[in-house]
Amino acid sequence: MYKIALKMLFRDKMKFITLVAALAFSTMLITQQGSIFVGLLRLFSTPVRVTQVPVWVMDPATKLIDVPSPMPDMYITEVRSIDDVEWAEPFLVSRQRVRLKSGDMKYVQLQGVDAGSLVGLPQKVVAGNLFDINLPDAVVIDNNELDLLGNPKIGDTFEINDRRARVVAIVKMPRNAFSYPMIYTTYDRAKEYSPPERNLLSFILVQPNKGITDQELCDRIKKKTGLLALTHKQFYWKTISWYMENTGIPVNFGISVMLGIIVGAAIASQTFYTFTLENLRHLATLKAIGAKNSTLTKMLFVQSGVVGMLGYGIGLGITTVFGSTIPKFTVLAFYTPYQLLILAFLVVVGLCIFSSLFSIRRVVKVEPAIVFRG
Amino acid sequence: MSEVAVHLVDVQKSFGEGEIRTQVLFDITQDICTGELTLLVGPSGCGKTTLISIIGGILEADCGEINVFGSKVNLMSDDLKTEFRKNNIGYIFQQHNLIPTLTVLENVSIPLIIQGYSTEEAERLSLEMLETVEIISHAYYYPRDLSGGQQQRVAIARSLITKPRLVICDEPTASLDGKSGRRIVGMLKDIALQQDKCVIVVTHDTRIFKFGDRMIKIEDGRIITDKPIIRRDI
Repeated sequence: MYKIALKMLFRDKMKFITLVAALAFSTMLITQQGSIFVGLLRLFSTPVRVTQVPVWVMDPATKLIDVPSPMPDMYITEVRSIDDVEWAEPFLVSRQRVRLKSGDMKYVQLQGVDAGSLVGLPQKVVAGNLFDINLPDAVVIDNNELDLLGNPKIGDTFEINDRRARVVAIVKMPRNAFSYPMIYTTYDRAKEYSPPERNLLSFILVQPNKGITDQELCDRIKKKTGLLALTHKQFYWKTISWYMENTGIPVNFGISVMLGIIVGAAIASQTFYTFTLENLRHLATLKAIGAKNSTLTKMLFVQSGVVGMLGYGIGLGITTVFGSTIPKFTVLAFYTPYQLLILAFLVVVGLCIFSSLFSIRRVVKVEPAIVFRG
Repeated sequence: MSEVAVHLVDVQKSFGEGEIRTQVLFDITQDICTGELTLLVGPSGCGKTTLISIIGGILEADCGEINVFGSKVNLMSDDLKTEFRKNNIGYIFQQHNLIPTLTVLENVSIPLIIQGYSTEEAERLSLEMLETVEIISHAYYYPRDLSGGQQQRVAIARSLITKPRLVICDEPTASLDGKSGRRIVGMLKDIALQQDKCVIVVTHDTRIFKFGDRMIKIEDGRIITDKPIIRRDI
């Protein structure tokens, strides 16, 4: 009977197309908006992701990497003295103003790394030499916002807070959420570039010895220093959580996703129910000639299941095309984790079950005697 | 030798409840035999269709005994009734009730597929049946492409494909011209009565009375007369 059910579905072309389109639209909206949402959150965490260190130590008041609460430098020594710390290096993060040769002023994110180990400095070099960072006035810039800095080349100079800076390398790194360039230099020079403050140390980047877990070391650092120590993963999620809790981003995207689910559910269930109603007399005929309720129920599930899978596939296809083409032409953040695909799949399955239930209820209740009515 | 196919005792049926309750069948007690084409006649709203729905197990009676080929239909569960209908009863409807999105061949195959036949086997047997009802040339047409008479022949093929012992027809000739109507009922009689089966036809169509073996008249939910049809009387 499944073949019969599918023939009944496929040959009612308009309804079939409407059903598939509704579910495809729903899937597309969920996965596309979801991917942009996840992509955007990943952008916020870019500085954390590119700084691949196991443990981050910071002032307990620090909420996220872009706005750290500075600590005294003495904590570097204190953390280094803790058992099972293989190394601990300073990391400075601050927002500064840059004067370009043209006279334009731009905000940049300045990051200071340890001059010897270069821990925290992105390693994919596009141009120049990373080790030249130790030369006088040397800075390394990221390749994403070069135009904001007037497309500097190796050797070009600009000023950071009235102090000369010379580009010695350009590194490749993922985009961040804000449209300002990332500039790396040594920790000591970063302090010179920054306005004078008593404390300027933003983070201490720590590598544990073998034989101790990141979490165990975090607990130990916290106990010994009173500072906040987080694993890389914890800091990554802390950053994302902050934006989730303190911005309207989740609500805005959540509304789009919910809209997709509601519109998809409304169109799919209404169309499927209408499809069933229009076939009610035929389903009653099948009942009269011996088809059991369970058989008719399975037929409806097969119909909605096929429509659901097709809609899911097409919706995902549209999202894939969107995600693989649009970001080439614009700075759209787009990332589709597998969990999003599972979520969309579950939503579509839910929509199919929801749509079918109304129809099944109607079919189970229908008296086959209606076939004798004119 | 004919035997009792349908045995009804004190069957009653009403619709609605309270003040709007309307009783449509009153104490129907009747036997219908095999080997006969029984005509059920009477004015509109007298309860004919209700009675055949109850006999066919697609409508519950309020009370009374409904015995079809020795099985007490009124005591069966819904699933058992469905199973019973599947194996014993064929229906022909006034509106044909063919599924418009299926071809003629697929429509006729459905009862066999419900009985568990493979699609291939069901379609092979259906082609034979379509040949019998002389519409094999339209096997791959959709119902919308057929005339009323052709659609009714397909409906007959569908109802007889499982070789049911009881065939119930509701106004099978209502939408047909005289020639098509006579042809349909003639065909129905020839096929259905081959193997000691029973055919019940609800009709207003006097043109087909001559095909009947027995005529039961119903008025206001009661059987008024039940007598064999003597051909010279018509």
